[in-house]
Amino acid sequence: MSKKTNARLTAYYGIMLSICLIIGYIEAILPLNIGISGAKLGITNFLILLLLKRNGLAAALGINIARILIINILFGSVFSLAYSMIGGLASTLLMYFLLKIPQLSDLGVSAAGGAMHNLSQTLCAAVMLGTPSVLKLLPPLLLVGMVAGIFCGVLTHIINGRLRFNSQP
Amino acid sequence: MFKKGDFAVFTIIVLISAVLFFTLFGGEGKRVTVTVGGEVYGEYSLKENREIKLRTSKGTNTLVVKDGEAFFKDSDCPDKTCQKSGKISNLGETIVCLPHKVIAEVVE
Repeated sequence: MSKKTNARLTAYYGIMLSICLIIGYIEAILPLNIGISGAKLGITNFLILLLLKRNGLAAALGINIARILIINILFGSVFSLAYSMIGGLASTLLMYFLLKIPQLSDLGVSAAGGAMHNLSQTLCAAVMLGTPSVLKLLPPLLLVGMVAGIFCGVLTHIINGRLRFNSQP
Repeated sequence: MFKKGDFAVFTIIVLISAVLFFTLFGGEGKRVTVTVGGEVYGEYSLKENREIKLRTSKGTNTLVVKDGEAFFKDSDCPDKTCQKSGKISNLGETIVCLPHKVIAEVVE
């Protein structure tokens, strides 16, 4: 890899990370109140999917981990860190494998990722709290995750088609 | 924009949540059980109106039982998610306070 591509990639990943952080900040100050505790849109997911498609698993995971660390140091606690890390890693990995299935579009992949995010977080909460009763939040959370995921999938689909600059290494 | 496989994904997710919904939820509950860190703290009838101060090692939550419903009126945690969670009265409904590890659940 030449010096030029290296600098280009560093700038590209930096921009991606800062967009993730700004969206995360806006989501943190604008809580989405739909009657389900802790539910939010998770718009950053569309950038993670975009990174998975354009730059591969390592880039998407790296940016996601950095994003979760920074967002939780700024707005969260150790508890919310563990919790979002598990959701972020599980959904990124699932989307990575689902992208390999040709019958699925961005919308399906992203919907599954959104549902997986909420599923893994709820399981994580059940284990951390030592009680299965948290699992009762799962039915609405799965559906909300799916709808938010479809929304993000549409964003990814539109933006991926319009990105002009070449971000491939 | 959609492909065929997408609808399979949507169907699977909706089916899973429907199955979970019908296995986890029943009719109206009679009492509310409060657990702190996985251990039972107390059980309160939904028929009696009362206010319960839940003192945990991490902070205090105020649980209110009124007209067959239970809700959190006050909590000294930073996120206040339990206060925003609303009222519960049906079997299996829960309110969770993650920072204090408090869970209120409607039981038979």
